[in-house]
Amino acid sequence: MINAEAFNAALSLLGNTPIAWLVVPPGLIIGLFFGSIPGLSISIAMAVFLPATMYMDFLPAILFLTAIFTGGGFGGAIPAIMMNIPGTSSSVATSFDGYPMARRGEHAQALGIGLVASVLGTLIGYLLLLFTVQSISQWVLRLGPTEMLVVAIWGVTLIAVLNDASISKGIAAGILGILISTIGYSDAGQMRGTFGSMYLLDGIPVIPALIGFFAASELFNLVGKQYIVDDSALRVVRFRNILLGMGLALSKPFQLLRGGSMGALIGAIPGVGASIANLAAYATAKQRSKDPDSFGKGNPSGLIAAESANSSSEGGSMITLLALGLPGGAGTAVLLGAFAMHNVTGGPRFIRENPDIVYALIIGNMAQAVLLLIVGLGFIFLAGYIVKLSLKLMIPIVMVLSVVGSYAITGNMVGPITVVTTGILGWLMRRYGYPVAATVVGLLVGGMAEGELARSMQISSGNLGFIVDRPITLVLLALLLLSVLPRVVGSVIKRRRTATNT
Amino acid sequence: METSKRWHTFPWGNVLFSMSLAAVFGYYAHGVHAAARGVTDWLLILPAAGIGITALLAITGAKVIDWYRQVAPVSHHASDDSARPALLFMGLLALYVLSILIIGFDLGSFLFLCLALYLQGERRWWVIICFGLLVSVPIVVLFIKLLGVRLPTLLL
Repeated sequence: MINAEAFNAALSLLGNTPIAWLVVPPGLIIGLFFGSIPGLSISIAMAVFLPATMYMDFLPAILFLTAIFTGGGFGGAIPAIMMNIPGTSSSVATSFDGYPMARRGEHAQALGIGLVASVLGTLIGYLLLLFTVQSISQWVLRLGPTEMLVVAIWGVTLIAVLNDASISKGIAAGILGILISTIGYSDAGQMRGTFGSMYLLDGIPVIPALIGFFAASELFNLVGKQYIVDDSALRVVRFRNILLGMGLALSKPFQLLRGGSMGALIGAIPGVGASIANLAAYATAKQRSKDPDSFGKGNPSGLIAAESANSSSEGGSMITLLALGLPGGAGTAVLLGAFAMHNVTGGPRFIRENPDIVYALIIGNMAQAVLLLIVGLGFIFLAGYIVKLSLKLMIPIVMVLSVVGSYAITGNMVGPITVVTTGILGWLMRRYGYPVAATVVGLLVGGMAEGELARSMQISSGNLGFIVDRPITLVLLALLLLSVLPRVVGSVIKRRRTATNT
Repeated sequence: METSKRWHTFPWGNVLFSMSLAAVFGYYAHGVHAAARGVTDWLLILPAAGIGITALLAITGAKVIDWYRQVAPVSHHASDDSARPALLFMGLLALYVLSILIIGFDLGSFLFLCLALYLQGERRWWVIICFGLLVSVPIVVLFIKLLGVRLPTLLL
């Protein structure tokens, strides 16, 4: 499983390259900073600092960028927990229980839980990569369009069905997201829903839409309130509480391991990555919990699942990057750019010819995770003071940051207009009990679902019987049904009982 | 009198929102299908819109049945009052975004910050102006100088 000779060579390579260690702490801080500001994503941070790696050797350059990746992975959890604003798309599920904890005054614990889950999740992801990098590349190649389509449908269905609102509302919200994701040029060259505007040819920008649905809609609701945490006695940031949260996360090793393993496996599927990993792990944790109703109301287990999964998916996405040369998401796409900048091509040949560098990257990233514990601890102690800020001041500041940040992402007014439009739509959805999370997931996976559906139809010539010959698709479909059916049946029984009682 | 009271509790907002969404789904799917160049243009959209419209009709039906049976009688007075500041803030945000291309991010952000603070009850003019300046200038400068984003500005 591990090439011992290459492993030793990697250790000596890392030992003889001090610059590889010097670039890690600044990379982590940059990632934490960018991840914690709504509107600035990890991929923006990595892209902004990509030119800085031009004069570095390959190993320090990649370690610097992966440090930004690792720091940003946890950085996105900070606004998700403190303000219900996922700093990145991979922190969507983090806000489900992190923010209710913050509103209860348990923000320090939530941040501590998030940090430990992130650190251990990253370690789990890279440990899995260490043991499987040689063999997993074969497995990933077996996933075809039908399997990817089922994975995408699974992502939307889970979050649409497993929410506190009615199943119909969850489905309608998920489909709204899918339909929004189809706006723009289709593969066949048709303009869909653009109203003739050239600004919409590339579709609705995802990150500004995400900011609108989650951040703006929640901020509208907070207008008129004084603080995120109403009770002044709870607005205290204590180092002890952060440590308590860290201890609480450590006391649930099985949940950490489950979230971490799921994240790494899902992260290894190209195009899926952390955005789905955190939602799938969250849904699984909720389903397996003895108290599923407490999820979404500040259950630490939900936070552990989401954060361990999104962090471990980094290791998973590195599997496809190193083994196949395929980027799993925006972050690994920038890494692929860095590979190209240093004249390195990822893929089976790279692994075969440079096993020492591959192991050095893995070991270096595991060391980064440990360093994140120290750097992140200082960072969240400062970030914890967000709850002390008056909402009267914070709402306009975050709104301006979101608008300016969304302009920076799109380079035109489509970003800010998307933030306002989706913000208003999200506010209406919240008001009438529709889960905005389902819309966001639909938006994230809609493009992938459409592409994979088209490819599946082309391969099968429209014959549905085609899937009978695809055992992985059948297994995934069975898992989808198994995960959704109990909630559907429960909901039908509940409605019938209510009808009978009246 | 009794009938008027009963109609007062009808979930208008919920029903109108669901029906509007269903209409948008239908309009979009029809538009895409009518202008499609190939099956792949509507392959996902048509079935998805169909499922969505069915779900929305089910939601509307359930709401009306619940209202008829008085399962969940609702009074909207309190929530309507709480929605007022949110609606005003939405309007202000929309004005801010629409004015950016004319007055730039610098002046636009400054005015938005000042008005947002005023809207939330702050009446000390020097606090409002200092807040607007201390937040808008660093944000705009950070994005332009440090991140190299070409923001449209009027003064900076």
